[in-house]
Amino acid sequence: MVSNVISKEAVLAEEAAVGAVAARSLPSDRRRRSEPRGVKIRETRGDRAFVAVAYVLLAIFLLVVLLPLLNIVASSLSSPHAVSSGQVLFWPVDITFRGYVEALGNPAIVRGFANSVFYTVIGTLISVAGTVAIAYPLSRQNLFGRKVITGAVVFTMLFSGGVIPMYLVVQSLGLLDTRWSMLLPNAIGVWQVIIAMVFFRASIPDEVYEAAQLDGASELRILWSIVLPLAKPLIAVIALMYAIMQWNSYFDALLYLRNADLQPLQLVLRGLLVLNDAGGGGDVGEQLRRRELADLLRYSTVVIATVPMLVVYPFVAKYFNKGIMVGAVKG
Amino acid sequence: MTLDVEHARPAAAVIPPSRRLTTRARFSRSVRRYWQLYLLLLLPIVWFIVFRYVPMANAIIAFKNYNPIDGVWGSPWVGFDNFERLFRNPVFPRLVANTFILAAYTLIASLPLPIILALALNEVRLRFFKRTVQLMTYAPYFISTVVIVSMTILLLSPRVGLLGRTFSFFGAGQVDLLADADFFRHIYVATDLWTTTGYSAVIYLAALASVDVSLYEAAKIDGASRLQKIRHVDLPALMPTATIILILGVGNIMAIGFEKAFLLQNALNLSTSEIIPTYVYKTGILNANFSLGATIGLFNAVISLVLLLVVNAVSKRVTGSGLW
Amino acid sequence: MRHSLMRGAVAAIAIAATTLAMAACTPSADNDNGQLVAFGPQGDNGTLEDNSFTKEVEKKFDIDFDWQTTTYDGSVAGEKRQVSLASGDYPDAYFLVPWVDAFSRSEILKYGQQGVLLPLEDLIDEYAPTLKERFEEKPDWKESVTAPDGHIYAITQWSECYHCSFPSKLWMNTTWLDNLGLEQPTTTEELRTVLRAFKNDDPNGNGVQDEVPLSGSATQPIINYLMNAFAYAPVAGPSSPPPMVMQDGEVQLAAASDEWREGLAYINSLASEGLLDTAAFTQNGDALKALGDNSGTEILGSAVDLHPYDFVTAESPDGRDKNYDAVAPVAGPDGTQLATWRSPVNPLGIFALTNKSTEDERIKAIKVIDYLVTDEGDKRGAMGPEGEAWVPAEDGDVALDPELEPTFKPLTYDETSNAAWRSMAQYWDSLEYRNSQVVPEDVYSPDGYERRLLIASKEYEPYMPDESIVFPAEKLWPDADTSAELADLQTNIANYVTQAQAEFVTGQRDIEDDGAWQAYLDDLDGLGLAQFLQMEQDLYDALK
Repeated sequence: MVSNVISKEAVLAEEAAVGAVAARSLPSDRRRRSEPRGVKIRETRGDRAFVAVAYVLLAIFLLVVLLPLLNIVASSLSSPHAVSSGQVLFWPVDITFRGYVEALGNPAIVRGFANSVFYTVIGTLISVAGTVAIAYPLSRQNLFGRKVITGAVVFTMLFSGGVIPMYLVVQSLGLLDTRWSMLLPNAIGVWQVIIAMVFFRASIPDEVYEAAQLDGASELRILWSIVLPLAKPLIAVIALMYAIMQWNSYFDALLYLRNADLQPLQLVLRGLLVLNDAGGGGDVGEQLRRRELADLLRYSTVVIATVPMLVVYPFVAKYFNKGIMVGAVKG
Repeated sequence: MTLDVEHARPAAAVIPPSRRLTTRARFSRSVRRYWQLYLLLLLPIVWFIVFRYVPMANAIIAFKNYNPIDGVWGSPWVGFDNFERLFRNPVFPRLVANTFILAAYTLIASLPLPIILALALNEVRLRFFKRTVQLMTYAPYFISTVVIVSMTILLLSPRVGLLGRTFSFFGAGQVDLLADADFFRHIYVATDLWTTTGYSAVIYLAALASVDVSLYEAAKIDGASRLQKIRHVDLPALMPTATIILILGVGNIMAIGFEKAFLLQNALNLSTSEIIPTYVYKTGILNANFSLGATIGLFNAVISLVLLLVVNAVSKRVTGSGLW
Repeated sequence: MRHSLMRGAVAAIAIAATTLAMAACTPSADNDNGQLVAFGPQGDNGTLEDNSFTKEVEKKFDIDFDWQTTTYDGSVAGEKRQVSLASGDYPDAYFLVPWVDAFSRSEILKYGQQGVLLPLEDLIDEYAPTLKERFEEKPDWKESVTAPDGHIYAITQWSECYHCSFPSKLWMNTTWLDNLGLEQPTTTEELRTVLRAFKNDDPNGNGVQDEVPLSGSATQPIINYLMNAFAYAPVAGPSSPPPMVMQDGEVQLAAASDEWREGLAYINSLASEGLLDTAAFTQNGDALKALGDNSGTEILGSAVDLHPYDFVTAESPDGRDKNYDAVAPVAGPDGTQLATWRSPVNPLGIFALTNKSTEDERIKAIKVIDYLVTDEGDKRGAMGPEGEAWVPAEDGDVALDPELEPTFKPLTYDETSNAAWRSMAQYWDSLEYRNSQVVPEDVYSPDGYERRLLIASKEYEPYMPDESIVFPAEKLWPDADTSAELADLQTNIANYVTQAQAEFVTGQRDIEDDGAWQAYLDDLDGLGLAQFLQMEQDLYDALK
């Protein structure tokens, strides 16, 4: 019951606020047309040209990005000789799946994949929760100590202790060689906190808070029922950023983990590639064979590492593409 | 006789000192009202202390001649020796300049493109095209630096690279862009743009997504052209985010990575490609010295702090918004 | 009420933080239950724990290994090792791989003198008889692991890879020479003639002037081979010191001599005629290989490289990988004819014991090393079990060096097997050992590649530089007081020399211009050349 009342008030307040914002942002000397809402407004020629330009621009972006990617995929499916002789452009030559067979056939890969999924999912949850927990209060103008705490947070971005001091901390907490060492040391990123702060401040007008408080809603309730639903695009974005950070992470795993069972995918893939790519040691026969493997693996490991993130993206992207927003505000 | 009691001095004009809220009072009022928020803040703050501030304390090793047996607190003090050595090094000014120029160039160049990409995506309607472009432009972010650099060098090779072959096809002769010290920076920035534009655009897309739809409708009703709509609705929505990204970028400017510059270095571009991290790496091989790394870190931090404060102040004056 | 709550909370946090800070700074106590905590790189073919050689060693010497592993990725492996040392969380023993990451001499001295790394010489004397023998066989090895204070804090491998000792070879397309009716050049001018013919006379017969007479990649300095006809060019690489030579017992910068200048002038003349591919300074190995593997007709005439499979694919479809043969060093105008020589001395430390190990553990560890330098242990540890990774030589097999008695034949490398420590166990790789392995006689097949390289190297051997001019950079032990400054000087001078050379050769600086050369010398002085040479001289003198 209470929640209905609050949301109605909140929405009313929202619309008032939005109206105010709209009035502020449009030039005031615009002559107002008296066309009623609902009439289809035809695009002007200028606008259609504009859209065409946008399409062309995007096509250029797409091409510039796509062509090298195609080259990588094509190379991963071609024989190493075809690649090194420059025959591979955008389509595989001498198609071979050996690069993938070698990489995926390694039992460590499956384990690494499972570990990475675990770290990414759990790590993202922890990170998003932590980020919101600190960014939301800091976005409230009336919070005492806001500036000091924000300053202290930003300061950590400028100066970090470095690798060794971090290691000492992780060690003394007993987190070495545990899954926690993958999830905690870099749980909260200053970038994400700042972005979240800015988002909260910019998209949630004071009127919302005032209306909710008038209704006697507690701060946590406001956060949970009003702010978070409005912040879906933000959460989607920072969740994606954290997920990517976790997925790509390699150095932390190297440093803090000993047990091979806990290793994430990147470590496994890199290890696979590097062991074979490295120069010296061993007799010439061994070196040649390893070099051959490295050539095969070089591109297939890139593709294997990237594909999961590409698969995930569309699911997250729908939250920050327009369309979702309409429902969230009016509902 | 005072008839106009209500109009006696406006309340806001002058408040006697005894009536102004003291800091202590403001503090307690804030806590009473927002105690739930403070509670929420507690855990993250603890995290920051444990995982960010405690290691900083350990970084005092910048001032010591560190050895593992005595640990951080036991190692002997050598004061400012590390700093002295750094500043006395004849190549140090060049290193700082190279690092700074490269980082600044990267930062400035990488600002507009993601915004343009986000705005363009916002304008088109074909869902399939839109989703494909989004997905594809975001993909390069995951390709490792080693692969990207190796492909770049290959691409730019005068004889076998695609670019080189194109040049000679048009009769431009052998052009070795990799050999040009000035061009190093362009190559560096170009690879950076290729890698990060799609990923950075995501933030702007989110900002655009949270602009209320009725603003667009209002704009349409007012007869605004798309260009005007962008100018008056989209861009203002993106400004806070863009400003923050700029400020944060400046704060991070000295934290430029070592890997890409190191891989792109060659004998002919050393005058621009040798930056602080690559130099530290090379001397580090010869003389393993934990303290030097920390010294450089401290140096970078001081510069970053100054820059951050300056840019934040400027931004507040120009756009009204800043970090705090 | 709320005040005190907040104050209490703040105080609690402060105390917690301080305690953590204290705890974070003291090294954790060592408690390894008698296990031998060993640090080493682990590949993806299985864990070191499960490795069958590990199990054999454990059984043989009654050891229970507890592996702290790092990656084979050299760019980050070092960080893990250094962090393990810095945190006080270091192992009992290190079993490293030199081409991944190993203790530098400066680290060996530092940690040795701090007491982190323990002296090994007494242990070796008592418990490692085979190693003692090997040290006597190769006194250079013992010398290279002995620090100036007389202690052995870490040992490294002894690897006498014969073909590696002449890293800067010119590989030339023999088919093209035949097509043009030419012989391999023996002097610098003959080389110029040959390269001109490669460029202009269409040796690949396709009617197009697309031939690249001479190229290289940025990782293998192309200058070295050519410079050796004018002045001795020592081994160079990304983190090598600037080129130095000895003259009457004094250290000189090779890159500052008049002979060096003449060499640069010659190389520059080749470059300006288009005979030397200036992309050699900027292209990576992939680009060079793209030249060599060029689809269609061959276009690469010659390249300076350690071995030809670097720039051309083994068993190429058109067989072009068989076309390249090594050309002995060419003689310069005044008869100088030298070959860049790489000493087998390796200034790193890959096995060390720390002060965390118990007496018992130390003895066992040194026994393992001893086992690894025996014939049996070497083969088992570095290659694998007999029958799987290698077989004994049979009648009729020919050793790599035909004059030696063949001993074993390596089988095809199986990357999935986890039966050997491989590079982690390669401590004894002497010339005799290596050269007594059986290698097929067809030098142009990939299997016989080692033989091909040996024969090529034999051509270079006569031109090995005399001991009196070689500056033994790899034998020097750094001085803790000066090593920081030396590192800076060395990096600055090496960077400058590398850059200036490339600029002189490509014509960005004019080698003929005395002013430009003088400016180059002046710049070197400004970077502290005199001080640098004096410091190197002191280190050299300390060797005696």
